Amino acid sequence: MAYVYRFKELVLKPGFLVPLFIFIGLTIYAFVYPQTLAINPGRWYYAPSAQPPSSKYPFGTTSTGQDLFLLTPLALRNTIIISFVAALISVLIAWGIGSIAALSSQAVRTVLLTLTDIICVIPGLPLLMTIFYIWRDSLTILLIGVIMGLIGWGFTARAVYSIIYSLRQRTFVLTSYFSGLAMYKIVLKDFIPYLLRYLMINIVGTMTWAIGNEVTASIFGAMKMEEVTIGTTIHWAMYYQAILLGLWWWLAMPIIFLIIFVLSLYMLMVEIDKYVFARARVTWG
Amino acid sequence: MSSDNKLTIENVTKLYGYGLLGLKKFKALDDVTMSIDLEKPKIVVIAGETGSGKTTLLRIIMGVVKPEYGRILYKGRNIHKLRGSMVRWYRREVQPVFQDPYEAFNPLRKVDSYFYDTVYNILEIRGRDEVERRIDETLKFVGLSLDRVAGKYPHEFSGGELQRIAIARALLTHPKILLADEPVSMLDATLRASILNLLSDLKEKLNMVIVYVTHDLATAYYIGDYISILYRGTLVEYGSITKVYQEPKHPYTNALLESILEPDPILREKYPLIKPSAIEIKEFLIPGCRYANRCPYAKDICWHKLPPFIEVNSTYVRCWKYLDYQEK
Amino acid sequence: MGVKLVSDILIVNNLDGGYEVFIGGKRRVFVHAVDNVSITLQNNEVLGIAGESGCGKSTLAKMIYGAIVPPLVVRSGSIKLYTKNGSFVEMNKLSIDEVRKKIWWVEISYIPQNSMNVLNPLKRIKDQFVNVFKYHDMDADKKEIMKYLKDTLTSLSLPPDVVNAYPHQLSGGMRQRVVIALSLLFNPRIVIADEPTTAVDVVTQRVILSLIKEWREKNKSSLILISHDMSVHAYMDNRVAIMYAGNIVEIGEVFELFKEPLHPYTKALIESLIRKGDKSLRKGLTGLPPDLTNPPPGCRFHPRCPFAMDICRREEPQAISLGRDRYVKCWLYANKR
Repeated sequence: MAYVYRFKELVLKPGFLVPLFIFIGLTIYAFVYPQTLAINPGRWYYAPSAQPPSSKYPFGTTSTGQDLFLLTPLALRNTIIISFVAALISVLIAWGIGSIAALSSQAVRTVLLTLTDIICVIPGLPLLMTIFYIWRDSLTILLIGVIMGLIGWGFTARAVYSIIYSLRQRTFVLTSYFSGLAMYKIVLKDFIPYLLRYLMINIVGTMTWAIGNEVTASIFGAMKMEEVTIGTTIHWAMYYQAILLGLWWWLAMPIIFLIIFVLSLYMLMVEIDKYVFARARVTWG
Repeated sequence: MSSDNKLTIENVTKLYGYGLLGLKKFKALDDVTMSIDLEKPKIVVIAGETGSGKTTLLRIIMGVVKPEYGRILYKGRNIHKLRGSMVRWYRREVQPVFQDPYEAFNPLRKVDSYFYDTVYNILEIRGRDEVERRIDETLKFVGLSLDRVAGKYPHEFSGGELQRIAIARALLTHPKILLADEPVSMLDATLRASILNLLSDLKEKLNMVIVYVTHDLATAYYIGDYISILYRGTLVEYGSITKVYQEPKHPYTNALLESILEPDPILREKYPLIKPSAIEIKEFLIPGCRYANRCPYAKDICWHKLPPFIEVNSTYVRCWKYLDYQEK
Repeated sequence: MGVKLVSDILIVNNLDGGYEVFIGGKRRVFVHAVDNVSITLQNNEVLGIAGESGCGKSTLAKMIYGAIVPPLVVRSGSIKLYTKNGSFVEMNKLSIDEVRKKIWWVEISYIPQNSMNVLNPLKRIKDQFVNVFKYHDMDADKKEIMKYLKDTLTSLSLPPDVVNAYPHQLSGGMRQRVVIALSLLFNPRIVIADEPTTAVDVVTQRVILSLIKEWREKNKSSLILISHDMSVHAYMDNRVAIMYAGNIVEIGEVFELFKEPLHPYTKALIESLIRKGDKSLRKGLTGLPPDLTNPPPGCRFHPRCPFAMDICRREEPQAISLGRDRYVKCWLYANKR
């Protein structure tokens, strides 16, 4: 009659395993490897400057004397932390507000939705750049993430509100009601699986948004430049005319790693989503 | 014989907003009054076209929608004013079966989870064995068993099986009233007969009253004992089904019965071509009898005032034609 | 089946196909929805295709209509259409774009079950009509189109301000009528109506069927009516084909088929029909239709058939002709040629 997508099938699929290994590999590279280093790769002039990739320096070195093989994981780590913190804060606020708005009375809903709309309308990037520039001295990696999270939750809140609101109208909610479940139990048992899917997409989406903002802000110099992130690395590369000087590796390495990371994360989420939602697809008519 | 052993629908009126800000109101249900005696098992059909308000009425009886005016009394109690443990009591007494079995169950949940929930929360039975025995027993009523159903998701069943499962879930609490919203309209012709036979049997076996909402008058006749006809939110006729079908009193009932197509090609010549009515929402706004626009007998008063319930040969009719009869 | 008479306008020969489905990106099954179907449509007739849901009738309709896009594939067979200007087209050999331009709306029209599937929810009704004209390179003056539109809609008893409305503002019945108007715009010779009345109540059903009947009488076009509701077939059809699990098991003239169903499935179907004013016990069919990804060998109905013989389990029966336009696919009639 229909086919059930088993968990074992999911974990043995190359489409799932490959991004998973890449993701785990990159995470270890970004988080574990820099801990093992004796020096702080962010300092300048500890390596011969402007060397192309070779056996001693596999990723080459920068004009400012940094070994890219040591620099890239640190940059990636900081960028991941910023985007993850931003995603976490954003998700917490957005989901809290969105679900309360969907499940409460008309008055509460209107207030919360108006608040959400205001946040949606505020231009994110210019505001971020201004804040980062003014407070660059007191910024830390974590704080950068938190500030981003506080600004970017608007659209997610709207989406969560509409998902839960439309789930409320579905017939199976009535069946659960007549099976004796209270509203909070219905949310837990009936809504969470649907929401889980959106949560995963949401996290990846917000992370990508945060990464984009961080990189853009850094390139413009509106960031704490002493910190090593993908964005600041690109900024310094451009500042030191890397392209004109032919130092392609300075730009290529951070960008490539960033792309691979985001892609692997994205593909993981797609596969998991397919698994979770195989049951909701009743095909062939 | 308790005089309170009834489900009474009293002057129920439900308003919905339309227009720009939802400020203009129209009456989805207008002054619907009906009384169903719960002493003996029976099937009461609520029939009407789309937009007649029959689903809204069912939702009000379920308790999930509140009428603006009027009330529903179940065994003497106003169901919308129940609190605490009485709410659970009502959910035990009244259970629904919905039109689309695939919509009635969450596709991401196993079907038996609903059964366990019902038994734990409404019947408050603990103890694994007792719970499973009760579930298995109920599934056997509909020709299934716990083994066949356990651990499976809704899409693993066919439409007919899933509807049976939905009926079984509703029967778990041995309800007095089963509210069925077009339970067979999504099923094929060959399945309908068996599900309808099942409902008929269950009504007798479990001494239930089934409120059966439909627009299909053929199946309504096959299974029903009483029928009430809704048109654009007003109840126009109510009585025993054989009487209503053989001697329809309200002009709308007449028209409705005539538009049923028989599955017999020989009879096709006797169906005249019908011209549709275009003004649909405007009909809701008529203060009097909603059918006035289409009625061949419409008089001036029909447009302005809703006729009262008039009893004619133990059928209740809301039509000014029968004014000389005894008013109820 | 498949003999070309002068009045045949559509010939389907040994059409075989179905859906290729990927589960979880890996597992692949083939849903054999249409199994060696041969059927013809004559000029100025109503051909009904009846059967339960999942029997393949919608798939067959899609193939005839030419909407052959993955996961739907045609494995073998042919669909031949005789166009209005007398030429001869093999539908399954055309690309989807050619089909779109030359066949759809003009030669064959399709009325879907759910009217919202056809109407663009973001466009007003009048814009949708204008678009169809534009797409077919018919540069008519906008005023002319509007006038023509208003006339058509009035003949369908829709108020003229429907043209300015968005689809969601109309009721289901009105939308269905608009879709019918849209599909009849260019006077196609063949209209395929896929469950046109399933989603509406009995009164609207009468209205829609009356409209279709009226239009047919005026234009003398042909109609392929797909429905699981036998009352609709009894009312509308000239000939009716009964489909089960991807096969056409019986075809015949409608009066004959209802009076004397031959195939055991047809018999069970006719017997389960509930007639007005009849409270006598109806019998349904036990069992379930087969899984089309793994159909039973031989005749696909044999697991549920009360008359199943040994040969039914081994070999698929051929279509046996029992008179003019009367065919049955059943071993019971193998000797009665």
